[in-house]
Amino acid sequence: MTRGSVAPAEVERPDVEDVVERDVPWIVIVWNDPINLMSYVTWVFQKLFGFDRAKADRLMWQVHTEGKAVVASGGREECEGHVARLHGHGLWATLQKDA
Amino acid sequence: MARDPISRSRGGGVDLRLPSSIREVIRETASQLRALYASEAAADDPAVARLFPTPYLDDPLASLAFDDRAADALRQGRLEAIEIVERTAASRRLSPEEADAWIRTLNDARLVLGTRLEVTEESTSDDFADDPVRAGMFQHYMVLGAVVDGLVHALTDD
Repeated sequence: MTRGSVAPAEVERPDVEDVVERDVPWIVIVWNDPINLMSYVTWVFQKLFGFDRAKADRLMWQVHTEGKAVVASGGREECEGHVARLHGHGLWATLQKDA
Repeated sequence: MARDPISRSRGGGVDLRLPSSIREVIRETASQLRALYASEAAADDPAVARLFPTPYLDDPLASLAFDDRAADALRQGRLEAIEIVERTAASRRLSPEEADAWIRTLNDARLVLGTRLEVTEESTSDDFADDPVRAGMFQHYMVLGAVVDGLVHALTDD
């Protein structure tokens, strides 16, 4: 991600985001890319998943610094829906079985 | 003090004080995207492929099935957003839905331009200074980034 013309809002250090619950078979991963703005990625996470600003920022920052982040989990169909909506917003998202 | 060219309006949308030159760039950007999606070369264009990523890293058949289900709706959503941008390119105020369409459309254009230019997070205009065409594309990319960033902040900042 790139910062763009405006400095990003203050962000916390990345935490390991505990969004994966037990016994949930599929996860949605968002991968870092050099084009999407940090502010834009945070906005997409808030819009699509209803995260508050702090959580969306934390996940954005995890994508940026670690190269990827798990942003959702659940059934396969549900995760495919998330991936389709993320693709509709230009984010590089994949789904896979939770290892 | 001069007001920001892009700011939140009282109704929750966005007020725009953009020069007509920028509005023309935005309108043309939307039209160019529409033409790109309709072109025969789109199927083999890596910049278009960037807008439709592979959903399963290790399962090409599942990825094809996903495309069968999702690609038409994704394409349709993009065309509807383009239409909104073309219709509102001269507007002084955008509703939240119109601002959303601007953000998605202009971000898609950034993805196309950035993929063509193979930008990195560290790219600057100096990297393209020796090629006027690529320098112009990078300038376009940066202008769109500033507009996207301004719209996102207008919609989300307290």
